[in-house]
Amino acid sequence: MNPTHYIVLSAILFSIGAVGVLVRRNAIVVFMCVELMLNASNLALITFAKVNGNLEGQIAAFFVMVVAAAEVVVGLAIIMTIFRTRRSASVDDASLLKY
Amino acid sequence: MTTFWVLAVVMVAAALGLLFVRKAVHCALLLAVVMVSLAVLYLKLEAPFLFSVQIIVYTGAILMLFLFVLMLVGVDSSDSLVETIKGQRVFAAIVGLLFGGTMVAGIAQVSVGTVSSGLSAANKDGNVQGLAQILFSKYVLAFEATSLLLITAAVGAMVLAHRERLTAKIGQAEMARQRMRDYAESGKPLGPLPAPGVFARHNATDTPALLPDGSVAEASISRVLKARGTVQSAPALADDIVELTHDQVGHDGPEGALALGASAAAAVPAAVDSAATTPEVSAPVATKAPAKKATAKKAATKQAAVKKVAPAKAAPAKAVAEKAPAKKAAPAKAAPAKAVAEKAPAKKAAPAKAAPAKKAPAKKAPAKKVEAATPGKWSGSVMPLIGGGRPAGYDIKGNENSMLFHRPGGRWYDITIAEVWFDTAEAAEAAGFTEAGKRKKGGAAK
Repeated sequence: MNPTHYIVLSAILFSIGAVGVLVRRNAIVVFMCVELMLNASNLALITFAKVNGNLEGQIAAFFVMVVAAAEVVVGLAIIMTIFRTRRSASVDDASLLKY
Repeated sequence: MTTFWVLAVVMVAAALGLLFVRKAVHCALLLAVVMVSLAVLYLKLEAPFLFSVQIIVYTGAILMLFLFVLMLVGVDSSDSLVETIKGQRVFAAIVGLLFGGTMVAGIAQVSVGTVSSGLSAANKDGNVQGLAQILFSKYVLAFEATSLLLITAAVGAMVLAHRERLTAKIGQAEMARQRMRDYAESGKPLGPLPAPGVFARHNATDTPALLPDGSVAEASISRVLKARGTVQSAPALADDIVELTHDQVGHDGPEGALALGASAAAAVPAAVDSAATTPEVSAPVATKAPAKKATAKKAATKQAAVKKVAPAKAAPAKAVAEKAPAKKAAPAKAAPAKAVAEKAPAKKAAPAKAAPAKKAPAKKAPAKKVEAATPGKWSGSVMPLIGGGRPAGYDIKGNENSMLFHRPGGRWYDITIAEVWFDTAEAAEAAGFTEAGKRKKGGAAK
């Protein structure tokens, strides 16, 4: 197997996730795109673990997953709170700090 | 290698779908495809522990959390296509392409390295054992830090999602009181809403119930269905309804017609009532009703009389029926015909100016009215007739409970059951009644 293919796939998924964060308006979908980016980085980490022949890359991916889980919990709670007060999950509507 | 190429194509396609699909739920499902495919790649990369974690934690827990929040926020929520920053989409696409292109080009130029022996040496005691060895020795501090992070996240989510109750919880007693107040102030019905699909032949919940005059009972259908536009329209159902009522009345005879009419004092007005409501129905009812009346009299020449009377009356009744379809007919003018018109269950049907209409009710109805009009408690008022009918010359409906009176044509006139009738609005006011709808808000009569 050629590890370059895996890394390129990971880069493509990461870019798609980044574009999604920029383009989408729904806060939940933006969050999903962030998850996609995290997953892409995990793929790269696990590939590197295989290339280097030790498990440190897998440990790093494991920590990324833990942080992602915590981040999703807090992030979705924030989205829920914003939705409850503004009746909207759009990132454009949460612009109160601007004024 | 085939696994990789197949999964790579599927994953990139699903990830691109994440950009273009409009509904958030579809986004979540596409993300699930990407995540499960990634899990399979992890298995190929000799990471069986992360394979199961990816499926159980990521796809199973995190994505389901996404779906839960989506359901709370509203499944139908989809992105608006309005760009708040001009040209943002194009700019983001260009930046993304440049970013991805640079990364891919950079990776292609450097040597990532080749897989020599793989993880077989590191995984010789098993992947989970190998990971545990590192995690609880070299990375034990980081592991403790993640436990702190998880506790903080859990507490944070609870704080954010918690909502303080600012007002007392509404109990059953308060709800009942509020309901009675609504009824007194706005005439909102006390009972449950009408059930949908009384005349349904399709899916019952999307077919509105129909009032006796064939109009739609708006309250009987869910407002969600109405917003989605899946409700059957009333005109589309009208043909069948006429047929149905035809069958029903045809079998039930005059008693059925009586039930149909709102407050029938005599058989004949009832017949005309239903004639005004459903044009085609009139013929059978009209012939039967006079026939019954005639037999009830038990006249000596009954057989001959019936035969003469029945066809003679059927004809005028039909004439009435032909005018009935003009649903918003003018209010009645001729005195006897008026009585008929006001008994019609619906607000609209009143074909009273037709001369033939006089014939049907004129015979018996006036006699009945005069005998039953007992004077009421107040001057200018009378008690309702037996059966709830309207005494001649008294148009104003009074409600003794709420001390409100209703003029003909008023908003709640038709739904109000009169406990007392007044001849004029002035008489009603003199008796201490207030006109419905004129009262100030909050000033409920006790």
